[in-house]
Formats: sequence, structure tokens, C-alpha cells
Amino acid sequence: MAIVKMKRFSAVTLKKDADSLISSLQLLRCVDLTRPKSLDPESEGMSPEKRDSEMTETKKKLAEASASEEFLAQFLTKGKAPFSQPNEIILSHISGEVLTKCKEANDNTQRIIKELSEKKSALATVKNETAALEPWRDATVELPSSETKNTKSISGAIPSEINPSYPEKQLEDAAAVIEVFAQTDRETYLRLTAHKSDFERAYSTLSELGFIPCPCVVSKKDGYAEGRIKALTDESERLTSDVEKLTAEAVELSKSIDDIKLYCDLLSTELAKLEASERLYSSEKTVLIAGWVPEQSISEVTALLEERGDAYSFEDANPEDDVPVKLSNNAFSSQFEPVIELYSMPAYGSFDPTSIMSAFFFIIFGMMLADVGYGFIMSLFCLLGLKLMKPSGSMKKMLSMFAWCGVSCMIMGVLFGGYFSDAPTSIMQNWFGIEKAPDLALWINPMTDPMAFLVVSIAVGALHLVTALCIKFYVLWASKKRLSAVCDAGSWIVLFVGAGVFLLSKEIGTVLVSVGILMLIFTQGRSQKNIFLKIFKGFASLYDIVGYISDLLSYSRILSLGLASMVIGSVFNILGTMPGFSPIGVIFFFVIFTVGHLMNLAINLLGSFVHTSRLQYIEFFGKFYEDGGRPFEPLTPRSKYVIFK
Amino acid sequence: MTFAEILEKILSGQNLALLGAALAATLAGIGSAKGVGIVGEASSAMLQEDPSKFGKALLLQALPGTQGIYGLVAAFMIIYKIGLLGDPIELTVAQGSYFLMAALPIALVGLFSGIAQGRVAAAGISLVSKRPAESIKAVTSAALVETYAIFALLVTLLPIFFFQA
Repeated sequence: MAIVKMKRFSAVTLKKDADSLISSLQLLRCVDLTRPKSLDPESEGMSPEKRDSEMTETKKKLAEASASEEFLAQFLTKGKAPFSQPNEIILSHISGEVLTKCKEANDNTQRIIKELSEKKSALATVKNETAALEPWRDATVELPSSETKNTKSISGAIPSEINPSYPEKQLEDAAAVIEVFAQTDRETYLRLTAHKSDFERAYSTLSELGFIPCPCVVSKKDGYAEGRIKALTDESERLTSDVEKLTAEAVELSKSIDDIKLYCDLLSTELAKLEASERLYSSEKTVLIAGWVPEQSISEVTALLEERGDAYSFEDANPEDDVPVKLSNNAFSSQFEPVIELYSMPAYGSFDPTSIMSAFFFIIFGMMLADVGYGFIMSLFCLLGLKLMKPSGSMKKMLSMFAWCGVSCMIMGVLFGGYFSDAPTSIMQNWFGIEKAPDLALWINPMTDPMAFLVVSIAVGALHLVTALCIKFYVLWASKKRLSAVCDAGSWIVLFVGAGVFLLSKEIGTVLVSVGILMLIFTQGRSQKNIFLKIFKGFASLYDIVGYISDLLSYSRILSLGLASMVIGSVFNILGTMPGFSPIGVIFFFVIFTVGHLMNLAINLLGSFVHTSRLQYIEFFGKFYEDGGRPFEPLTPRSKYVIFK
Repeated sequence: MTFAEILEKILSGQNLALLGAALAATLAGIGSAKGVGIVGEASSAMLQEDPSKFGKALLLQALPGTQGIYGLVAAFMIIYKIGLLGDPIELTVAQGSYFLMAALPIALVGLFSGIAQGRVAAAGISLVSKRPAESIKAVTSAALVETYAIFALLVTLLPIFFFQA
């Protein structure tokens, strides 16, 4: 239970060796690279590394490879398994051969993507032209226009609402002929032939009616429209077979999708390295690397640097440094670290409350969702998820955390009698007519005795708050502010413990509470110089009792949420068992039971998580927590599809 | 028939209880419909850019939908308790209004919390669109609004459960 101690690390290496050093550090996964601050490198002729062009290049490649992956994924013959386990690959074992293979697969995919899109767009053009020519199939005219010595013709279409006889009538006095070739329900296809002297007039008459010249060009040489359509059909067949061939190639290539996935991840890892390189300082020949290393990893880093023969140093952190924070806890508590990460990391050098918080989280979560059935489902699903998806990082911790919380729900379920809410009772009453069903709760049944459950909730809350004050006392004491520890934390602890003891023994309780109150009155004004202000501040501090009481009442949400999940669940039990015990009734029961309880579990799981977290963040952390730590982010291989070892 | 007589006919115990059930289902349903609608509008805008975030958007959109379900649950429990599904029990006007009053918390809180939750979730959609990794925070803020609907449902259901005919 602690925040890991960090050492400032710096090393100098030759510029040409910098990349290999960064690669090695990336494999060690224990160095958080930062810009050096302690000395001013710029004044010593060093400047920050700039790797912009390489970065842009890698980003482009990565985008390409991701596109390849997405493209090939469509062609996977067997559907993607819902829980596919990522491959584990040892990064240092990847040879140039593998890289070439990956690159080749990617280049091939890129080529297919490009050709396929070309062929497809060509095919679309052919199809469009064929469709445009279709009405002219039987016409032995040149499209769109033709000319003889004295006449000029143009072919095209007018909207079908306009009767072709209408323009004919308008052009009666002109030397013009309109021939209709075909008619669809949208357009009428016709040809205008006119003497050159009248052509302009005739054409504009038609244009006003919405005449659009035929977009295709067909000459006698092509065999008019029919010949052209034939040629286009051949062309489209050729293109279609090309597309089929390319698709087959893509299907074949999709077998090597793993190579492309690896390629993507290798590029991401490269990108991570380049981003880290931007935090280096370099002179003409040398590079200065700086960062933070957890104390227990120093030997690994030292071994690496000794082997390479680079100059290095480790220093202790200065108080003004921005030291990254890494938490280290036992196997149980470390699973609850995501709760802390969701809030804010503790400041470096402050107290890490994870282990104490995890115990309370475990208990309070269980009380809010006290149900053996729900707990079992939660644990089962989380363990399955851990087994099948092999997640890493905070996802892994979250799943194990909820698996633990499921265990807590089961324990609390036995104590407070939740088995899919009151399913056994409902079944006994509605199916078998047993009016007096036995109480399943070992300790308290919140449905029949909510007051007792409320008292337990508040008691857990009181314990939580006193623990928080004890931590405050410890933190202040450890940082040599002993007077503050006794006055600001100690007096409240005495007051609260006194209030607790009061329930057992009135005399001792009263004494302790009085001592606590007197301590507050006499000490809380100590920062004031004026004697009246001292007394006033001392008495005013008693007003904080209101704050503590409202904190305490806040724990009534344990009752509310615990009851809510039970009551809503029992509605589904009543609904499900209502039709009685018959074949249809049993089927009905299973449908309602499954859907209803899954919904109830989902909503209350979310609710319990949010509210348990809130009790930690506001009521618990509020007393002592120092936030604002920067999370420790060591340089590691970055991957999406595979796991780099 | 005078107005008073009409009132007397309408205001039977059973009708008052039914009014409670109707209010619970209707008002909470309106709240959810509005809430889900607000999130839906926001999420379609995001999905135009990136359809792959549909799962996350759907989760946020589903959140304000629960008030409607709570209203339905409360309405159903009232209908069940007054025996409309089997043999109806005789209710006095006082007993009928007992159910009507019990229905009010989920009806009113369902209406307003559904809309409020919809607004929070819609704001969460823009968080998801910019920083998908942070979507749990958007869900968490929206879930906080949900709490009050759960509490209201609790206050509605407890009197219904412990009703003695």
C-alpha cells in the first residue's frame, strides 16, 4: 500500500545509438521519459529532438495498415469469434523477415484496394453509359449529333410530361422534323433534324421544354447504339471478372490478416518510440535521455546501460519535481486501483489509500447489491471475460474488481436474504401456495426490517468516516504536524468514538464526547491572535458536526440502493410466477425472470458502482486525500491486436 | 345527472387507483421518451462521423429509458394489487387515493429525471465522440441522475407492497 518511490534517471548516448537505446527501454517498460529539467540543456548547446517527418510518415503508414486490416476483415470466411484471444508475440524476436512478410501483405492489400476501387468505378461508368444508351438501342443514328450538307440533327430527351406533338406544332413553319425513338415513364427520347438555317431556333424551342442532349457519343463506326452497347457489355463482363478475381485474391489474402494486424501494432509501437524521442535533447553527436524509474526497476535499467556502456545517473526526486505516481498494492487491493484512477491519482509522496479503500469498497458494494444470484452472475461473467478476452491494463483490473465485488454480493446476499431478490419466496407462495415462506436472511431482511438495515448502513458509514479521520491523523503525524494531528483529527476521533461508546455505556460515552468537544473549542481557534476570535472560532468549529452528520446520513444510500434492487427484482418475481405452476407458466416465468433480472442487475450494478465510488470520493477521500498526481506512464510497446511480450 | 353525480360515479376507489397507475406509466414514459429522444439526436450527429461508436452511443441512449420502465413497473404493481388481473377487490375512495398518492413519486420524478438524464447523456455523447476512452465517465455522470428515479420508485413501491386491504 504505497506510492512507489521514483528516481530521476538520465543517460547520455551517441546520437546513432539513441534509437536502439529507446527500443531497449521500451522493452523494459519501466521508464517514464520526460524532458530534462534539472540542468538547462539548451544552454549547453543541446536542442529538443524533432522527428516530425518520421512521425508523419509512420502515422500515414499506420492509417494505411489499419485500412488494410479493415478491408480484409470483410473477407474473413469464418465470422469473427466474439471473444478472440489476441496472439502473444515476443517483440524482440521479430526478425526482418517477419517485417518484410507483414509489409508485403500490407502492400498487396493496398494494391488490391486501389485496383478494386478503380475497376469498380470503371464498372459504374460502363453501367451508366449502357443505361443511357439503352433507349437508343434500335436507332441507327449517330449520337448525340450529326450533320449533312444542309441539315443538322441532335438526339436527346425531354420530360415525358411534354407531348412530342407540342414542339412539332410550334415548329410547323420551320424546316424541322422530330422523330420519337423511345418513351419511358420519365423521359421521351427523340431526334431533332432541321435545316441549318432553322436549327438554332428549333433547338432553343426544345431546350425551353427541358431538352437534354444525349450524353453518349456513338458514331456509325461503332455500329450505332447497338454496337456500342455490345462493346460496353463485353467491357463490363471483363471488368466484372476482374473484380471477381481481385475479390478472390482478397479472400486469399485475408488469411494473412494476422500479419497485417502485427504490422499495425509494430507501427504503433514505432510511433510510441518516436513520440518518446521528441522528449530527448540532442547536440551534434550526443543525445540526452531523462525520465523517471521506479526504485525497484533501477537494477534492470542499470544492467542495460552498463551493457551498452552509456553514461547514466540516478538522483532522488526534489520536492518541486513533477514526479509520476505509480501505486503498488497487494493482489486484492490493486484490483481496486481503477477506482482511484477514475478520481485522480494521489500526489507523489502523499498517502495511498487503495488498500483501506478496497476493503470498504468491497463491503459497501456488496451491501448495495446484496444478492447471491446477482453476485454469482457478476463474478461468473467477469471471470469468463478475463479468461476469454485476456484484457490488459485497467480493463483487466476492472473485471477482477467486479469479480471480487460479486463475491461480496454473494456473502451479503446470504446475510440479507437476496436470492434473485425474493425468488424462492415468490415461487413458494405463487406456485406451491405456501403462505408462510421462511425468511431467507441469516441476519436482517431489509424488506421486512428496513430500519435495522439502515442502522447497519449508518454504522458502516461511521466506521468509514472514523477510518478516514484516523488516516488524516496518521498523515499529519507522519509529516511532523503533530499538533494539527491531535487537534484537527484527534479531537474529532475522540468525539465520534465517544458517540459510539455512548450507545454502550452512557457515562464513558458522555465523558469522551465532552473531551472531544472541549478539545475542539480550545484548539480550533489557535491560528487566531485575538482572544475573542480564538474562542469564537473554537465554538464555530462545532458547527462542522452538521457536516459530519450529513456525511453520515449520506450512507443511507446503502439502504436505498439495496432495497431498490430487491424491490424491483421482486416485482419481476411476482410477474413471472403469477400465471402459476404449469408448463406455459414455467416458460413464461423463465422469460420474465431472465429479462427482468438481467435489466435489474445492469441498472443496479451501475448504480452500486457509482454510489460506492461516490462514498469513497466525497465522504472518505474528502477528509485527507491529496489529489493531482500524474500517472506513471512508462514507455511500452503499443498494441491493439496482439500482446507484445 | 348533475355534475356532482357524475363525479361520484367516476371517483370510485378503483378508478382512483387506476389513475395512479396511468400517471406513473404516462408521465415517466414521457420523461423517458424525451430523454431518449434528446440523446438519439445527439448520437446520430456523432454517428455520421464515426458509425463504429454505435455501441457506446446506444448505451448512453438506453440510460434515460429506464424511467419509463420504472413507471411501467409501478403501474403494473398497482394493477396487480387491486386485482384487475384476477378478481378485483372492492376499494374505498380512501384506499384508491392511497394508490394514487403512492404513484406520484415515480410519475413526477420519472418525468423530470428522464429529461435531465437525457440532457446529461447527450452531453456525454460529445465526450464520447472526442475521447472514446473516457466514455465510462459519461455513463457515470448520467447514472447519477438515475439514482433519484430509483429512490422515487422505491417510495412508490413500498406503500404498494405493504397495502392491507
